[in-house]
Amino acid sequence: MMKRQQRLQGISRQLGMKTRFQAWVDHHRDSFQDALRRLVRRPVGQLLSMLVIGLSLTLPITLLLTLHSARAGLNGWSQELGMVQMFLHASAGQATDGGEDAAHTLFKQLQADPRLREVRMIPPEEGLKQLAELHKFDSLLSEMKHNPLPIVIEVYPQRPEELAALRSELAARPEVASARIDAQAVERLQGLIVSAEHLLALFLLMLAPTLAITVSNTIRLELEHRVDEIRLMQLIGATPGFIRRPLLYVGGLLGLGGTLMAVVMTLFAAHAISEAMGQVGFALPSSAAPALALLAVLPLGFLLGVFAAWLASVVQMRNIRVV
Amino acid sequence: MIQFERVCKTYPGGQVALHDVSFRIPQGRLAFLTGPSGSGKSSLLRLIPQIDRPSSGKVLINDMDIARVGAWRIPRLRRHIGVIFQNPHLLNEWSVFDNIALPLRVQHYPREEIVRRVRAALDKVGLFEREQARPLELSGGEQQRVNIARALVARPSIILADEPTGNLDPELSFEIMRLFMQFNAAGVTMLIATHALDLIDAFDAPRLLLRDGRLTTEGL
Ligand SMILES: Nc1ncnc2c1ncn2[C@@H]1O[C@H](COP(=O)(O)OP(=O)(O)OP(=O)(O)O)[C@@H](O)[C@H]1O
Ligand SMILES: [Mg+2]
Repeated sequence: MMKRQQRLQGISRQLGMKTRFQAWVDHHRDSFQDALRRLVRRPVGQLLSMLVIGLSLTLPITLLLTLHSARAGLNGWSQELGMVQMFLHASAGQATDGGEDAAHTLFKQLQADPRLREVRMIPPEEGLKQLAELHKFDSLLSEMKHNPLPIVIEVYPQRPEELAALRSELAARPEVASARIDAQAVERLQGLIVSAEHLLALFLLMLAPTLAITVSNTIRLELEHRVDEIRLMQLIGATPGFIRRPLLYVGGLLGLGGTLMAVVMTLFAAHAISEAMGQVGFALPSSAAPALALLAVLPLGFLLGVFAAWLASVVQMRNIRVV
Repeated sequence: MIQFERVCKTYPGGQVALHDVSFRIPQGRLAFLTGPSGSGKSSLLRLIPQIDRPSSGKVLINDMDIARVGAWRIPRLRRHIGVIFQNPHLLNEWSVFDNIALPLRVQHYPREEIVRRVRAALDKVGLFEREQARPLELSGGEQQRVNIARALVARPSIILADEPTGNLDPELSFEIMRLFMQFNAAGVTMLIATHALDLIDAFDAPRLLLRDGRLTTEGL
């Protein structure tokens, strides 16, 4: 019977690398088509699975996008809002012999300073007017005989990180009674972004089990449905990898479909958020980058699905014994 | 080549199915395995493609102790063994063609080769016109012939059959036995378990007789 052995070996030698590779490609295509058929056979269940994956992905992705644009926005705001506010001594408002008061001299000096982007002087009358507008006490104003406010000068540095150095430099000047950094708004927003980032990490942690459980459940149903087929394949000499391959595609397609749903839902959510933010006066910069980032999520969803399916099938196929 | 050396098989429940079984079927020979119901025929066959493992003793295939075959090589070992059960185990959602093609797909045969071999196998079992039928559209005898075609399509060096003619009328049973003789003549080692003594009387081949898990060998 050596003849048959030799013939068998002859055949496998005859199958060159190219045909073997071709057959392998064929099997991937078959597995993919098989996976599609499996999805179509239980469309409602599979759509629900995708929806679960999609919903669990939407939250973190939306948050990611919002944080992305918030951070971009914050850079703008911190430049706009980060300033040193100086309160001058009352004497600085009194004109000296040269004709100009110390406040104006200081103002001009600062305007000429290349480190500063903008310098604003707020005379006491204007400060009072702003206060009145802000707090709506016009009546009080008209009754006041004496304006208690100092002259205020606000300087906006070119580079926000110079704020501290600038403050101590300015505070040392004789005309200046006190100088403080006003970056409250920026700090508050920064705090908000940090806590949002913590939230995102939490969501991402929650996402992994959701995806794994959803995909794993689908794989379990598929394995139950196909127990006979799998046993037969084992008997015929199929490797576990061969048997798993269509299931991996099922997992991948679920992940891909779920991610696609998440992307669509995210776009809606992001739109709604930026609209809402716009209404309260925070215009989030919109850019093309997030949309591209969303596309990158698609292959990631596919790979996650494949991995979850692999894990589920390795664990669950151990219970299936030949015929 | 199939060889058993002092093989015992006790199931987890304590039922002793095989007791100290030793025999050797040389390469290219055909043997019948007979014995009353419950004597251990199926238990014996199941040890060969590693569906089950012996409790003690050795099973050798082509001089290889299969207990020493690593788990990852078991699929490769099984590709050399065609198995035919009484129940055809066909996949009812698939066409006859796809059922028969399965062992070739598993072994990554190229498409044209698959078509060529499946058609040849269909021709051998006389089902050439039914390749697109679904198994449920076939009679019991036709289903069994699909089962046989699937077992031989990848040209295994060993074919095992467990009551292959159990559901078939005498005429068809005889046809199938003749088919087995043809494979054997082409060099395949065969072990066929059956109760049908009157059927195998027509064929001149050695018999392994099992009784309560013990073996009496005739003519090997
Ligand atoms: N999976 C199993 N678990 C426990 N006992 C089993 C199992 N399979 C078979 N047996 C027992 O082993 C003994 C031999 O059974 P086996 O199926 O091998 O007999 P057989 O000769 O094939 O019978 P038949 O001709 O009816 O098919 C019987 O006593 C049976 O009850
Ligand atoms: Mg039996």
